[in-house]
Amino acid sequence: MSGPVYGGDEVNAVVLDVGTYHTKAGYAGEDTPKFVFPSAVGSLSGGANGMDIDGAKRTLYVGTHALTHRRDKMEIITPFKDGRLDDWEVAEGLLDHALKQQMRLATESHPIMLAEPSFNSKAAREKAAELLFEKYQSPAVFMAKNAVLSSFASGRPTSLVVDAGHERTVVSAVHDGFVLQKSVASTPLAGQLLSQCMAAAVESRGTPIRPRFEFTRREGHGGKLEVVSVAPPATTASYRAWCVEAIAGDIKDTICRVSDNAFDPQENANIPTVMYELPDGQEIAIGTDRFAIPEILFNPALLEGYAPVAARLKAAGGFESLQGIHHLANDCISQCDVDVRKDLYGGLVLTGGTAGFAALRDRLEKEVSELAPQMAKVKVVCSANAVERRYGVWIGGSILASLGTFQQMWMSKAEYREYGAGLIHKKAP
Amino acid sequence: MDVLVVDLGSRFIRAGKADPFPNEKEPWVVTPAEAVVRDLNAPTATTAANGLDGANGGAAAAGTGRVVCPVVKGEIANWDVLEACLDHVLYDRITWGRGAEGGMLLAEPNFLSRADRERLCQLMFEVFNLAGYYGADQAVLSMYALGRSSGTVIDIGHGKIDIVPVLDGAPQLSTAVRLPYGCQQLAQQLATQLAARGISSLGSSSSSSSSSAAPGVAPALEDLARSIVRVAGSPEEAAAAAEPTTHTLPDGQTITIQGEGQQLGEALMDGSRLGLDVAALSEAVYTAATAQGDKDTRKAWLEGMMVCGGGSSAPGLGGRLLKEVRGLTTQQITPLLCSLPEYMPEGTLRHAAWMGGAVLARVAFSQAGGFITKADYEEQGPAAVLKKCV
Repeated sequence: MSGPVYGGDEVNAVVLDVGTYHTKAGYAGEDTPKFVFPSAVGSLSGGANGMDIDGAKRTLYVGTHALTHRRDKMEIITPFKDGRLDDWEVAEGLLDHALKQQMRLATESHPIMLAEPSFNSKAAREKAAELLFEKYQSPAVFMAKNAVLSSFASGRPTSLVVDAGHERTVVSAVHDGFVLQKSVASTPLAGQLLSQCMAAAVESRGTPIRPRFEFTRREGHGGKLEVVSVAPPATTASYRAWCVEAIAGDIKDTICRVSDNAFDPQENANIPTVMYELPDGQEIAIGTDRFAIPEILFNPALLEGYAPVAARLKAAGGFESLQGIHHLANDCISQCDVDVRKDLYGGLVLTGGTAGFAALRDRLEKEVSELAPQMAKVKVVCSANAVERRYGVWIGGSILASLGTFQQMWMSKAEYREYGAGLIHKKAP
Repeated sequence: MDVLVVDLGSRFIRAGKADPFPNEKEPWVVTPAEAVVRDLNAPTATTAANGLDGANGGAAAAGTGRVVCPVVKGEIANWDVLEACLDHVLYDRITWGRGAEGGMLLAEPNFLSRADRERLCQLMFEVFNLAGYYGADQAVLSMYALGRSSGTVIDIGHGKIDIVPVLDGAPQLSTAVRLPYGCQQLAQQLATQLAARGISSLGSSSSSSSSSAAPGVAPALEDLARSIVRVAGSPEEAAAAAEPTTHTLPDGQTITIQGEGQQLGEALMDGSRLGLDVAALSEAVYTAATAQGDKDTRKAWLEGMMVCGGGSSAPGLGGRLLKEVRGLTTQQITPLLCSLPEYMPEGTLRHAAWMGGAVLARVAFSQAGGFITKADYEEQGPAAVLKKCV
């Protein structure tokens, strides 16, 4: 709409990125999101006598502190299905927590930029717009695809974005600021799967991972603290699994590395081990898994070494068709127009929480170069700072929302009243 | 410029000049942060105009007004009353002349929204006509009082406990948490326990489930609660019998306290004993310090914990908290409590935010550009506070 063009500073927009692991929120113009909390939510059914009546009111517990406090019968749920927001009640809980409890915003005065998955459905977009305009009375809303924002964060309008997240790794081609929809591909080879493999690896060695609520330290003989097992009944399996996964994720983030060449666990069986101390004090030695687990990103067949995880994946279907992320990237580029491919090969952007592995960038570059045609020059770009890689999408949103030239592109509340939520597809293609 | 340091608490407003500090041991003015609001237009009592008695809210409560606190559980609840209280502090107690105001460093409550920070800035420049202003978080200032810029601040206040990890002078709000209980709730607990014994304490007849502005417990009872609270070495020790002590209530009754003090101590360490759905204090501290950040920041936060605020003087609190946090951490980290530097006076931890403010005021107001001047405010408006006082 025509009118005065506002500079980014006066607008005070809010950028929200609801990821599969963390929800990130903050003001546009800042260099990292100030408010980050898990996207998983604790749910306690309100049914009487512990019976689950369909549609019974449930209490949601959102946020780091609410989740780490163990409650009887509290289940852990996520609002996502196939990478898209599906449970809108939970999504609303997340937004409430971000906007009202953490940021303490008067939402009527702040435009909201929402990051969405590159393969988001029309219905989900309309629902999100409706939620923001009706419940939070936002004055203006914009939705940008994750891949586009990652691309902006790296300073390139055209790139192939490899977003290694928690539930899925998504590869999409971005050309001049727009996602080429036909090229978007995703795979479950991502952070959550790797954490589960780590948990399986540790437990198969006979060291069970004990979540914090299952032990306590008491003063034993001579004043030394001894670990005593506690088993609070009525703790749900989903909560326990979430806690164990979090600990395994920390092990994975701390000690795993990507090897420079294809890693074969059998050949390297005598690799020196690294020690890690679990929360309850047990020490474990990790050897081949240190490299084998990130290697799964390139060689999914290695999943066979982690039986419970492989079994779960096979039951869900699609195990046979899994291919490494370098293949995925290459296929994605092949789906695009011939003219664009050179730019895409020359600018692969690596982003996401799982991209935090040391040496991932170099290895991806090497692997894609081998698959790419002879003439193509392959370059993988990623931020040197691990924090920037993790929050790449949010940072792109922060940059976009504070650009002066962007301010005319917001969808305003007046437009929503006149044209309805469907207008979002035209305003934010 | 005459620089005043003001700390807005839920129970007290502390104010004092930054200059003579630390020769003067404590803030000059510690006044209850409450005001009696009397409706001047009796039939249509829409606006409560101020027949103000800020200094002694308790005595005047017997009159026609009701006592309203501007800051409730760490949130600014009533701006008019806040203005009135500050008016009283600045012009009556500090004796600034109207038109000759100096600069102020305000210790803002933690977790204040951007809109509220701007509003405070606007209040200071437009209503009080200050020459200079700087607004900082109470948690960060508490750290400065100990001469540190990183650590975990555990501020035990009147109606809330704030746990805020601070890194290089910036509070980490994603993992910071505000527990909804403090000395006020402990006093209510004491009143309930005494009532169960058949002793009625002053002021406990009004509903004790007060999250509203009117306090349900007399300040005298809260002082009593604060004086008897003891944190034992462990829950088992607390349950053991303690020696009886006698105390005099303000209405003249003499009562014997035996064991209530220990129970209050346990309630302080674990809010669920007050019926609240919160994690235990040590667990909340551990989560706040470890949920995010890399290994080094977590270590810094756990090895630099600081307990401050009005409720921090409970004997045994520090040791018990340390013991419980040690029980949660791995071998590689040794949780420690920050120690008070020798040059700081005794009551520092109780008024840590004010003390830190005095430290910062010397620095911020000594250099040009370190604070917001009147000219800056005219040019940039209230948003200046967001740009200058990060």
